[in-house]
Amino acid sequence: MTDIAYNNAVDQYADGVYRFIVKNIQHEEDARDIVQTSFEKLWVNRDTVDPLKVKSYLFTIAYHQMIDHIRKVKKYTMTDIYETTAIDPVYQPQHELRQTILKAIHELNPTQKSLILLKDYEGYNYQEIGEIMNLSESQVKVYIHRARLQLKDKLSHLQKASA
Amino acid sequence: MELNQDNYENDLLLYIDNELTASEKAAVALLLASNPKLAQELKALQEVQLKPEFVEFTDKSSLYRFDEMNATLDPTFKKTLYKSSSNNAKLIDIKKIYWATGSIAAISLSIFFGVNTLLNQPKLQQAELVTSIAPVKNNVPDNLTNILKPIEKTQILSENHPQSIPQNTVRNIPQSNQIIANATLPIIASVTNNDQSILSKETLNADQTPTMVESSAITVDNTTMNSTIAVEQKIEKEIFEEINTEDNDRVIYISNIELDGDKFRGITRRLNALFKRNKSEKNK
Repeated sequence: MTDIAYNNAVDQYADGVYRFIVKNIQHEEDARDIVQTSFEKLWVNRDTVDPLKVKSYLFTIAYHQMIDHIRKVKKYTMTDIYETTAIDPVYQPQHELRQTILKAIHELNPTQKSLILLKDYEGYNYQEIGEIMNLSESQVKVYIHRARLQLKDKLSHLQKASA
Repeated sequence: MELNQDNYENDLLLYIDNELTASEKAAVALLLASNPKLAQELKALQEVQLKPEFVEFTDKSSLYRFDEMNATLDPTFKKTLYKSSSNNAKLIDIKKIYWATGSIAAISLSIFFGVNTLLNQPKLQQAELVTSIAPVKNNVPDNLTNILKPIEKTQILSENHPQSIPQNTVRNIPQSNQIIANATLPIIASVTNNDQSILSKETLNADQTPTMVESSAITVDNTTMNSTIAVEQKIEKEIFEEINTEDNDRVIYISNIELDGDKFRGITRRLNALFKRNKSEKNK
């Protein structure tokens, strides 16, 4: 991997990796640090990394960095996140629904949340997600399906409560 | 694929996750078109799906890397830069050995040539002295020339020290007296014993007498010789004075090469200064 290919990878994947991490841990500075570390590792191992698997390599590194970070911090709470992110002066029904979904997602366990984020944001298939998160394909499938049904139930419950 | 109440949820989830094959997708799409309940179920699941959202990682330049930042040297060139403590020690040792051997060689050479030059100077003087003595010796009467020879030898061997000459002459006198004593005592003893033995002793005594005469002659002659030796010493001193001129003080003989002593000393001083400077630098 040349420096040009590496810098292209920065342009292509830095936003995605950052989004994946910041949506998980809800802390911009820590998310930036994790992204920085991930790309640093890519640069160091640029000669051994398969050029076709650069994106999944980055997400794998970032995911494991994030797990370590969560273990270290252990201050992860839902309420703090929504106090900072739910501020929107303009009232929109669509926006409200979105916020409700996000709230429901953040109530999932970290593994389920990462699975949903990788599936919906990055479009990875079950196999790729399994490789990144060190899970089997069937595990990924089961966990994602369980998370989806959980979210659906939550959303329908919230909609019924608001109505 | 046949959808029923038990498996439709699973297939719908696979459908929204885009994990179905093209044919499976088509089958689900066909079923959804004919089953509004399933379509509503699908919509409910799609609602909880996260919609693409753009989140930017600002300041991507902090992530950029260029090969120049991590420029690596050629491995073969790198090898030339490698250093280990053992190699260093060896290098220093070799240098030290070179310096030590060099200095030892220089010192030994200088000592050798220095000694040689010191030894050569007296030899030259002696050679000249012998030739200078030769005409003086010719003036001495013929009967004394035989006696002079051993004296000359002792003089030369004793490196012409004026003090040693009288000592040698004195030593000669007692030796000759001892010969006389040894010769006369048996004669006195033999007179009381036998006539034959007396005769034989007399003959012996007669044989001894010339030596006695000779030795006595030496004692007599030695006194006369002292004056001639004294004259020779004066000549020697003069010769020494002639050789040890001021110019010769400056001249240093290294083997057969003649050098200006002052210049040579200057070079040695500079070499000394160089060694001292190197030593002080190493200490620093």
